[in-house]
Amino acid sequence: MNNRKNILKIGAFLLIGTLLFGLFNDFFQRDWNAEALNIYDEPHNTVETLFIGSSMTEFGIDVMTLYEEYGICAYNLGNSGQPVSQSYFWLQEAYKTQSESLKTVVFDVSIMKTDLREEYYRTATENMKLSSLKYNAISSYTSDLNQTISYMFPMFSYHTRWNELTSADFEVPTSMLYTWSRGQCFSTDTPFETLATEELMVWDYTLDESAKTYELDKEGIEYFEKMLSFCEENSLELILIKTPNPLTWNSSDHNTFEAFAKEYGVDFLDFNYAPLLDELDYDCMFDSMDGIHLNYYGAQKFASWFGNYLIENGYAHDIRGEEKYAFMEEELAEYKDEIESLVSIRECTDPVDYLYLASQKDNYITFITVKTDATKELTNSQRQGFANLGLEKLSQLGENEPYIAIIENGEVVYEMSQSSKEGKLKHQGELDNGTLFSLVSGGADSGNVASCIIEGTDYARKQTGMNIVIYDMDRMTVVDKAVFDTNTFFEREVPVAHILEAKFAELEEGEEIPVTLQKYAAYLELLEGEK
Amino acid sequence: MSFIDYIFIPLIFLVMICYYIIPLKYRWMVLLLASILFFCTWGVELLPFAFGAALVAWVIAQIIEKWNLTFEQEIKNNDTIDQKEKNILQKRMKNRCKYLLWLGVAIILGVLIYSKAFNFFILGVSYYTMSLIGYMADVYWKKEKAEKNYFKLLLFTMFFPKILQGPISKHKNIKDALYNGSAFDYQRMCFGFQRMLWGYFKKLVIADRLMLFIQPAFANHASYHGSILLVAAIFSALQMYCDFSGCMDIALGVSEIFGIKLEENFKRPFFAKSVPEFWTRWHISLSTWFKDYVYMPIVISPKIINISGKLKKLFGKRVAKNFVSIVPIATVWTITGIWHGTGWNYIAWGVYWAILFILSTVLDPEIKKLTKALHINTESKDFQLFRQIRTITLFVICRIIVYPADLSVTKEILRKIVFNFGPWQLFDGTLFEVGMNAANFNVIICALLLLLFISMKQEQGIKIRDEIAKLSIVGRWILFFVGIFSVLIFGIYGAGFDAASFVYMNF
Repeated sequence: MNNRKNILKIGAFLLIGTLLFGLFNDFFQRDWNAEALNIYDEPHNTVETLFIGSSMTEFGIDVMTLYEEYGICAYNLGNSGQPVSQSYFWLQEAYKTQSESLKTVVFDVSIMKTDLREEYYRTATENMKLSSLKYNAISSYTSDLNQTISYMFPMFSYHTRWNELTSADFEVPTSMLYTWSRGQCFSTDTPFETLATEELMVWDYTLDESAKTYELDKEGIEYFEKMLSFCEENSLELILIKTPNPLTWNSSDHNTFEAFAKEYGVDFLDFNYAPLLDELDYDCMFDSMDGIHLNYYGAQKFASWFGNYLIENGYAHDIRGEEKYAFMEEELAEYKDEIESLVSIRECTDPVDYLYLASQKDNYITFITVKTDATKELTNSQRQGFANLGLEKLSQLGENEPYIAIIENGEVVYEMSQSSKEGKLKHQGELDNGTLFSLVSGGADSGNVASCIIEGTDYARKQTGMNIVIYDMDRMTVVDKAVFDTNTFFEREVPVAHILEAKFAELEEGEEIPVTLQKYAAYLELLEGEK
Repeated sequence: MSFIDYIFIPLIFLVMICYYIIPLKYRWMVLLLASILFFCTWGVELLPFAFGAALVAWVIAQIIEKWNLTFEQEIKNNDTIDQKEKNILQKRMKNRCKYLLWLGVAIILGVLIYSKAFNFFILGVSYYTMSLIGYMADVYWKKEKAEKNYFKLLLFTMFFPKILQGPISKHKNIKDALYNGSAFDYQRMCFGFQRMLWGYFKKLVIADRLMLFIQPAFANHASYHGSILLVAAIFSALQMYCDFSGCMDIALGVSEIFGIKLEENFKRPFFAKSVPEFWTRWHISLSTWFKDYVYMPIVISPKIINISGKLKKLFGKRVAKNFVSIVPIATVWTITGIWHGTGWNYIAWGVYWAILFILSTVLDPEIKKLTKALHINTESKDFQLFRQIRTITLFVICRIIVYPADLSVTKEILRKIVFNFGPWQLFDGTLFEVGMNAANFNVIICALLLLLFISMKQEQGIKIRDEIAKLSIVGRWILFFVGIFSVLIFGIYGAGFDAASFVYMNF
């Protein structure tokens, strides 16, 4: 009798312990690969096309555009640095719930030529749900039992973060920025922002068919073969692709993978060379983030081309109108809403427009803090615009004065400025969801600072002018950080490439120009020289 | 496998279930099997050393016992020989046994020396060789009976909780519990796991965290003033204690789960008032072993008594008395030093403790006179505290001797502590940049305060586990979960840290 009671006690203790452990595990886990994790929430047996691979896939394929333009139900399971082996395990993980609908697997080969680091493996599958497959995925790269266990349960790896946990870590599930993009990450950056002036070049897109091939890494081949036979066993079509990447991809790579694909009898589409490159209408300076990854605009172009290819070859079909796919319309609406406001915010060059757009979304909170001075180049119409937005003090801000404001739900909930002699301005508080923030602004005579600390992290760009941070209350993450240097320039440092051309044309003689425009000018000179 | 492997605790659970579901008579076999498997995780090639050492001890103890028994039988049944003859025969018999014992000691010691001299790691060799030598000596001295079953003696040799860092058990102390098995006791199991938890706390939360500071501080000693180095040395003393005694808590906790009470190896050494007392509280099983099998045999050996007698006649009582204390102390500490390591720093370490021991024994009368002349009340609390701090200081100096593994660095560090203290480094932020930031310092301070609190309670004779048992189940479980998750969260272990192997493992 007593023994039975004791066994019951032990059982209860272990049960509570396990539950607590699960909870702590969630707190400590990192949100690696967060976008891919949404695959778990996908309705079962709906996905037809699966994109797997590294960051090239993650950033390069806009699956929502595939649906919008062609009615294709696809999912993007790319993840930064994801090795072939881990892509293979993710394919199996997705197949667990999508086996009846899955038809086509599209794999970007880039990772097969990259030197892999340990953390690429770890971050790829660490947040996979606990299962024997996760164990297989981890034990494919480590034979050390302790390491395997600590990767199975992220708490063991990340418990040392106890003094850097933020409110976002306590949100279950872990906060994610792109819950609405079906696995895609996106960026509006271009090489003008990400590369240094001396790194800019006029890319060469001619294929040298005689370029030497090389041997591929054995482990990559081993798991590619596994992936291939998995696809064959389950009657899945496997297509190999290479998204445009002029900075690190060359003829020798092309020839190597062309031969490789031939050997295995798989289609290989390389978008780095004619005719595919031209069919995409790809321009590296505008469609890539850094000469390597596609940006938002490039990913859209790619989807427009690739959707047609999938449909024409029967690798996917138009699911629009089918009852079980009704959820895709909802997802599209959410996607449109989110991406359009995000992109339009990022494309804004005028602070008034920027603040107006940010205040339109009720889950966004906008923090404004001025560093040094924000008024020297401010126009009267801009001042009027601020007044219309309810930013009274900003519309009358004097030279070198510190300034802080918060806009929530379209309303100015806090606004403060003071004479530059009175020193720094500080304001701290708590949002409705408990998030703590603190803002500091210092004018030219009062410290020359701007900071916007949200839950311990300073997001301010810390440059002269209006430093603005937009925070998404629902997802508890920062959506955009911008600086409008209204002390030096009339408008914002040009953020998006396709506006560059127009801005450049508007430039007046002798005007001081922002860095991105300087780079653009340098690039134009290069192009000139090439001709 | 070590105590800090993730699967260690689940495996203990598994072994525990196996242990308690099979009949009492066979339970020791589960432990033997578990011990062999545990051993194998360190390398199957190391098994023959343990098997061989146990075999040597088993055979020799059996023969010695058998010779003695037959001899006694013969003497008893033989009325024809007189007492004088009996004494001669007895002496001859004793010599025979003694040679055999020395043979056994030589073989087993050979393994230890081989391992030390060639730097060849053999798991637990320092611990089981000493246990086995003690066992043979005890059989030789007829303090205990020889074990008939080789496999039982093998279990004694390889018992997994004590194979990593001891304690150096005496066969007669644990054989009953080890071989006879014990019935399941819920309370005892809880105590066992509790003790393990406390051990993990000391090891992972305190010791390994302190290491984050100590290692870079000593490695870059040139960049720091004496103040930081002194902190590192004090930390190093605490680290050593928490690491080693933490491991002992785990070992003793595990054994307790199986109803086996291993010898305590630590008794709050930093509360010791003198060097000799310190060594009755620190690594107790090692000091006891040396006392029983080296110190005492030397003290009572006829040769020493003989020389001491002569010295008494020539130079007087005090010289003779000092001779009797100095020789065995010097021998013991030389051997202890070598046992710890063959580097110069360990030899210096042995000499250091030997000198302290000898001074405290030899100068005892002078010190007494001095305190009396200065009117110091040796019974007062202040004086006791002074003695305690003095002992700790001596131990801290000992860490400075051993840790850097290079005596010139030791000299450099000591010089800086005395002549280039630079106290500002404690306050200008340098302290938090050595390797442990302010947050980690906070954790360390809280953990050390807890350790101090518990140690003080224990010094007062309060048994913490009994106090915990008095709590309601809710209070108890909250305490346990807080403990468990404190170790899991604040412990220094995992992918980023390779520290975690126990300090005394390589001995």
